[in-house]
Amino acid sequence: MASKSRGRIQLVAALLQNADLRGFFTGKIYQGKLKSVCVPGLNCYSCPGALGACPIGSLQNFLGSRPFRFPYYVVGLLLFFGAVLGRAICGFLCPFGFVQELLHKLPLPRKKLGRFPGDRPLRWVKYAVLALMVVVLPIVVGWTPVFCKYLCPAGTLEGGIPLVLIHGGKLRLTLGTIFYRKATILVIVLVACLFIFRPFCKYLCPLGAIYGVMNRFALYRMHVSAEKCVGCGACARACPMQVDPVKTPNGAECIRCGACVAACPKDALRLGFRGAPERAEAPDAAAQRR
Amino acid sequence: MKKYVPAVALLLAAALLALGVAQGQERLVMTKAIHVCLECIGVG
Repeated sequence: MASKSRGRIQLVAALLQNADLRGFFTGKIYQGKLKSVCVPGLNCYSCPGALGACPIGSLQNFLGSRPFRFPYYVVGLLLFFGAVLGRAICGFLCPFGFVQELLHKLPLPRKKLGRFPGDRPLRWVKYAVLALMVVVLPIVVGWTPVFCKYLCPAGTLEGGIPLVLIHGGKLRLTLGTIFYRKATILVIVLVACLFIFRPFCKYLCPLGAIYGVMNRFALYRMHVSAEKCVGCGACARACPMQVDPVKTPNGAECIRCGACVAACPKDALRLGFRGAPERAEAPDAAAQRR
Repeated sequence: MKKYVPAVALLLAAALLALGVAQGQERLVMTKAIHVCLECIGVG
């Protein structure tokens, strides 16, 4: 999908998930029935505009509850989202992913980092964040919500900072070490976005870890035509997530941004739903191959 | 076998959702989500 279309979808998705604009003036969060539904991306439910619940926050609340309640509802929603879209949710629907991409696009003079030493091992950290902060610590120790409290920069950006700005002095007086620590993490992530494409998504996001696992079997997937592919590597060079789409078309790191599809000179790559018929070939692409 | 995985996943998702709703878990999600999460925003 063209970059501009995806950008528009990301903007609309971010606005829809945070559409309670009154909240940004009153400083009160939405309390309607839509909050019983988890949104698919990382969007803090303490954001003054948030209409839905955060799936990671909701998951931790259940896992840390006493007596323990298995989160059938939240897991069912995550499984549904992941089975249909996989990490296309990251690429199209996640507001925090959108913010990171906007920062990365800023026309500032700097050297953007693609693959660097340590990039591959760091990709595993998000699974550790998921296992330890989202699952184990809430279940075993009853600490909740560990990820939200100690790491999530989306909560600081979407919830903490707007609420502190709206409420001013009285809320500012209650800010403590946790806020400033999380604000520091947020600043580090946002600065990293200038140099690395979506660093939080690559290295830290537990939701990306969940959907990444489901990328392998999600209905929305990458199709590679062995007949058309000439092995030029243009797709791998274009990928901002440093994925080789020909080797791992449905691996855990692909966020379905479509950069590879646009870069392929032979129209060998296609993003779409499993079982959808191939699109009719563009006449100029067919002529080029002849 | 691989082509049945999405269908099985969707069926499982539907079953889990139904079980969760039957237990009223969506109300619990809402109960948490309509209150400002002080830990999430780092206040207090």
